[in-house]
Amino acid sequence: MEISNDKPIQNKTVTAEITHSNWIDTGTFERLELANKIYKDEN
Amino acid sequence: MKVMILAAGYGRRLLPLTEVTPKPLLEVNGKSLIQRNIETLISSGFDEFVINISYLGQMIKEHVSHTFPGIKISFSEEVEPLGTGGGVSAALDILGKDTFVLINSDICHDINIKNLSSDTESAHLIGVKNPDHNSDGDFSLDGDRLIIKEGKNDFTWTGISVINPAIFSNFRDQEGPFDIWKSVMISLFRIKLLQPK
Repeated sequence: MEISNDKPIQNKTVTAEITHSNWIDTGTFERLELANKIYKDEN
Repeated sequence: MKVMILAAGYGRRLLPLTEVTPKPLLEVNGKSLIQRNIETLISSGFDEFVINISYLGQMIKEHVSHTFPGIKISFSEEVEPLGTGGGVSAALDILGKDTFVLINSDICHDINIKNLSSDTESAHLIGVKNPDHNSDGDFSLDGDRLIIKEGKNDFTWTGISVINPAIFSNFRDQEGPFDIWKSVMISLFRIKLLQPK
Protein backbone atom coordinates (compact mmCIF):
# COMPACT_ATOMS: atom_id res chain seq x y z
CA MET A 1 0.00 0.00 0.00
CA GLU A 2 1.31 3.39 -0.94
CA ILE A 3 1.33 5.78 1.98
CA SER A 4 1.01 9.37 0.99
CA ASN A 5 2.48 12.06 3.15
CA ASP A 6 -0.24 14.39 4.44
CA LYS A 7 -2.45 13.67 1.44
CA PRO A 8 -6.17 13.20 2.14
CA ILE A 9 -7.60 9.74 1.52
CA GLN A 10 -11.36 9.78 1.27
CA ASN A 11 -14.32 7.51 1.42
CA LYS A 12 -17.91 8.67 1.31
CA THR A 13 -18.15 9.49 4.97
CA VAL A 14 -14.83 9.43 6.75
CA THR A 15 -11.59 10.88 5.46
CA ALA A 16 -8.11 10.36 6.76
CA GLU A 17 -4.60 11.38 5.99
CA ILE A 18 -1.46 9.56 6.98
CA THR A 19 1.56 11.46 8.18
CA HIS A 20 5.14 10.39 8.74
CA SER A 21 5.80 13.28 11.12
CA ASN A 22 6.86 12.74 14.71
CA TRP A 23 3.96 11.88 16.98
CA ILE A 24 4.10 10.63 20.55
CA ASP A 25 1.20 9.87 22.86
CA THR A 26 2.78 10.60 26.23
CA GLY A 27 0.41 8.36 28.17
CA THR A 28 3.09 6.38 30.00
CA PHE A 29 6.38 7.12 31.72
CA GLU A 30 8.30 5.48 28.89
CA ARG A 31 6.64 7.59 26.22
CA LEU A 32 6.93 10.78 28.24
CA GLU A 33 10.62 10.02 28.58
CA LEU A 34 10.83 9.34 24.85
CA ALA A 35 9.23 12.69 24.10
CA ASN A 36 11.76 14.42 26.33
CA LYS A 37 14.59 12.68 24.46
CA ILE A 38 13.24 13.56 21.02
CA TYR A 39 12.51 17.19 21.84
CA LYS A 40 15.59 17.71 24.03
CA ASP A 41 17.42 19.78 21.44
CA GLU A 42 14.51 21.65 19.89
CA ASN A 43 15.58 25.04 21.22
CA MET B 1 -12.07 26.87 12.91
CA LYS B 2 -12.29 26.55 16.67
CA VAL B 3 -10.10 23.99 18.40
CA MET B 4 -11.21 21.71 21.19
CA ILE B 5 -8.42 20.41 23.41
CA LEU B 6 -9.15 17.34 25.50
CA ALA B 7 -7.62 17.90 28.93
CA ALA B 8 -9.98 16.36 31.47
CA GLY B 9 -8.55 12.89 32.03
CA TYR B 10 -7.09 11.47 35.22
CA GLY B 11 -3.80 10.33 33.69
CA ARG B 12 -3.78 7.23 35.90
CA ARG B 13 -0.99 5.53 33.96
CA LEU B 14 1.29 8.35 35.02
CA LEU B 15 0.67 8.06 38.75
CA PRO B 16 2.19 9.18 41.07
CA LEU B 17 3.17 12.15 38.87
CA THR B 18 -0.47 12.91 38.18
CA GLU B 19 -1.44 12.84 41.84
CA VAL B 20 -0.45 16.48 42.09
CA THR B 21 -0.04 17.53 38.46
CA PRO B 22 -2.69 17.02 35.79
CA LYS B 23 -1.31 15.23 32.75
CA PRO B 24 -1.60 18.25 30.41
CA LEU B 25 0.75 20.14 32.72
CA LEU B 26 3.49 17.50 32.66
CA GLU B 27 6.51 18.90 30.88
CA VAL B 28 8.50 17.95 27.83
CA ASN B 29 11.75 19.86 27.53
CA GLY B 30 10.65 22.32 30.20
CA LYS B 31 7.31 23.18 28.65
CA SER B 32 3.89 21.77 29.54
CA LEU B 33 2.22 19.45 27.08
CA ILE B 34 -0.80 21.70 26.73
CA GLN B 35 1.38 24.78 26.20
CA ARG B 36 3.28 23.01 23.44
CA ASN B 37 0.05 22.08 21.71
CA ILE B 38 -1.53 25.52 21.99
CA GLU B 39 1.64 27.20 20.71
CA THR B 40 1.68 24.87 17.70
CA LEU B 41 -1.99 25.58 17.05
CA ILE B 42 -1.52 29.35 17.29
CA SER B 43 1.46 29.24 14.94
CA SER B 44 -0.72 27.20 12.58
CA GLY B 45 -3.31 29.96 12.45
CA PHE B 46 -5.86 28.87 15.03
CA ASP B 47 -7.00 31.50 17.51
CA GLU B 48 -10.04 30.23 19.39
CA PHE B 49 -9.91 27.35 21.83
CA VAL B 50 -12.25 25.28 23.96
CA ILE B 51 -10.62 23.16 26.65
CA ASN B 52 -12.49 20.61 28.71
CA ILE B 53 -11.21 20.26 32.24
CA SER B 54 -12.10 18.19 35.28
CA TYR B 55 -9.42 16.45 37.34
CA LEU B 56 -7.17 19.19 38.79
CA GLY B 57 -8.88 21.41 36.27
CA GLN B 58 -8.31 24.66 38.11
CA MET B 59 -4.55 24.18 37.74
CA ILE B 60 -4.96 23.76 33.99
CA LYS B 61 -7.22 26.80 33.78
CA GLU B 62 -4.78 28.99 35.68
CA HIS B 63 -1.77 27.76 33.71
CA VAL B 64 -3.37 28.26 30.32
CA SER B 65 -4.91 31.63 31.19
CA HIS B 66 -1.58 32.86 32.56
CA THR B 67 0.48 31.50 29.65
CA PHE B 68 -1.82 32.74 26.89
CA PRO B 69 -3.28 36.09 27.95
CA GLY B 70 -5.30 37.68 25.19
CA ILE B 71 -6.07 34.38 23.48
CA LYS B 72 -9.74 33.46 23.31
CA ILE B 73 -10.03 30.33 25.45
CA SER B 74 -13.24 28.87 26.86
CA PHE B 75 -13.35 26.11 29.43
CA SER B 76 -15.90 23.32 29.53
CA GLU B 77 -15.86 22.18 33.13
CA GLU B 78 -16.83 18.61 33.99
CA VAL B 79 -17.63 17.53 37.56
CA GLU B 80 -16.18 14.12 36.71
CA PRO B 81 -14.25 13.36 33.49
CA LEU B 82 -16.73 12.51 30.75
CA GLY B 83 -14.33 10.71 28.46
CA THR B 84 -13.31 11.86 25.01
CA GLY B 85 -16.81 11.57 23.58
CA GLY B 86 -18.70 12.87 26.58
CA GLY B 87 -16.30 15.77 26.85
CA VAL B 88 -16.97 16.89 23.30
CA SER B 89 -20.69 16.37 23.66
CA ALA B 90 -20.78 18.51 26.80
CA ALA B 91 -18.93 21.29 25.01
CA LEU B 92 -21.13 21.43 21.92
CA ASP B 93 -22.92 24.58 23.02
CA ILE B 94 -19.58 26.38 23.22
CA LEU B 95 -18.26 24.81 20.02
CA GLY B 96 -21.26 25.81 17.92
CA LYS B 97 -22.39 24.30 14.65
CA ASP B 98 -19.25 24.65 12.56
CA THR B 99 -16.60 21.99 12.14
CA PHE B 100 -13.77 22.18 14.64
CA VAL B 101 -10.35 20.69 15.24
CA LEU B 102 -10.17 18.14 18.03
CA ILE B 103 -6.83 17.37 19.63
CA ASN B 104 -5.57 15.55 22.69
CA SER B 105 -3.61 17.69 25.11
CA ASP B 106 -1.09 14.96 25.92
CA ILE B 107 0.51 14.42 22.53
CA CYS B 108 3.82 15.73 21.22
CA HIS B 109 4.02 16.06 17.47
CA ASP B 110 5.47 17.82 14.44
CA ILE B 111 2.41 17.26 12.26
CA ASN B 112 1.60 20.06 9.87
CA ILE B 113 -1.91 21.16 10.81
CA LYS B 114 -1.86 24.49 9.00
CA ASN B 115 -3.81 23.30 6.02
CA LEU B 116 -6.47 21.16 7.67
CA SER B 117 -9.69 21.57 5.73
CA SER B 118 -12.90 22.37 7.58
CA ASP B 119 -14.90 20.68 4.84
CA THR B 120 -16.00 17.37 6.31
CA GLU B 121 -19.47 15.90 6.54
CA SER B 122 -18.44 13.85 9.56
CA ALA B 123 -14.79 13.61 10.47
CA HIS B 124 -11.32 13.79 9.02
CA LEU B 125 -8.68 11.85 10.91
CA ILE B 126 -4.92 12.17 10.96
CA GLY B 127 -3.19 8.83 11.34
CA VAL B 128 0.31 7.46 11.66
CA LYS B 129 1.85 4.06 11.08
CA ASN B 130 1.27 2.00 14.18
CA PRO B 131 3.65 2.77 17.03
CA ASP B 132 4.90 -0.07 19.23
CA HIS B 133 2.37 0.72 21.94
CA ASN B 134 -0.57 0.36 19.55
CA SER B 135 0.65 -2.33 17.19
CA ASP B 136 -2.87 -3.50 16.34
CA GLY B 137 -3.76 -0.04 15.06
CA ASP B 138 -7.12 1.69 14.83
CA PHE B 139 -8.00 1.75 11.13
CA SER B 140 -6.83 0.64 7.71
CA LEU B 141 -7.23 1.73 4.14
CA ASP B 142 -8.71 -0.38 1.38
CA GLY B 143 -7.86 1.51 -1.76
CA ASP B 144 -9.23 4.91 -0.98
CA ARG B 145 -11.72 3.61 1.59
CA LEU B 146 -11.22 3.92 5.31
CA ILE B 147 -12.03 0.61 6.98
CA ILE B 148 -11.67 -1.04 10.34
CA LYS B 149 -10.64 -4.65 10.21
CA GLU B 150 -11.37 -6.96 13.09
CA GLY B 151 -7.97 -7.70 14.50
CA LYS B 152 -4.94 -5.86 13.26
CA ASN B 153 -5.15 -2.53 11.45
CA ASP B 154 -2.46 -0.54 9.70
CA PHE B 155 -2.74 2.93 11.16
CA THR B 156 -3.22 4.64 14.49
CA TRP B 157 -5.36 7.69 15.04
CA THR B 158 -3.18 10.50 16.39
CA GLY B 159 -5.99 12.09 18.36
CA ILE B 160 -5.98 14.97 15.88
CA SER B 161 -9.03 15.34 13.69
CA VAL B 162 -11.53 17.71 12.18
CA ILE B 163 -14.99 17.02 13.54
CA ASN B 164 -18.39 18.00 12.26
CA PRO B 165 -20.48 18.48 15.42
CA ALA B 166 -23.46 16.97 13.63
CA ILE B 167 -22.04 13.52 14.36
CA PHE B 168 -22.82 14.09 18.04
CA SER B 169 -26.49 14.78 17.45
CA ASN B 170 -27.47 11.31 18.67
CA PHE B 171 -25.30 11.61 21.76
CA ARG B 172 -26.50 14.92 23.19
CA ASP B 173 -28.64 13.28 25.85
CA GLN B 174 -26.24 10.47 26.69
CA GLU B 175 -25.27 10.60 30.33
CA GLY B 176 -21.97 9.55 31.82
CA PRO B 177 -18.57 9.17 30.21
CA PHE B 178 -18.11 7.67 26.76
CA ASP B 179 -15.27 7.20 24.33
CA ILE B 180 -15.31 9.04 21.01
CA TRP B 181 -13.62 6.24 19.11
CA LYS B 182 -15.72 3.34 20.35
CA SER B 183 -19.05 5.09 20.73
CA VAL B 184 -18.99 7.65 17.94
CA MET B 185 -16.41 6.84 15.30
CA ILE B 186 -17.02 3.11 15.03
CA SER B 187 -20.74 2.89 15.74
CA LEU B 188 -21.94 5.95 13.89
CA PHE B 189 -19.73 6.10 10.83
CA ARG B 190 -20.27 3.96 7.80
CA ILE B 191 -17.00 2.16 8.29
CA LYS B 192 -17.06 -1.40 7.06
CA LEU B 193 -15.86 -3.98 9.55
CA LEU B 194 -13.91 -6.66 7.75
CA GLN B 195 -13.17 -10.15 8.97
CA PRO B 196 -9.46 -10.97 8.87
CA LYS B 197 -8.50 -13.11 5.88
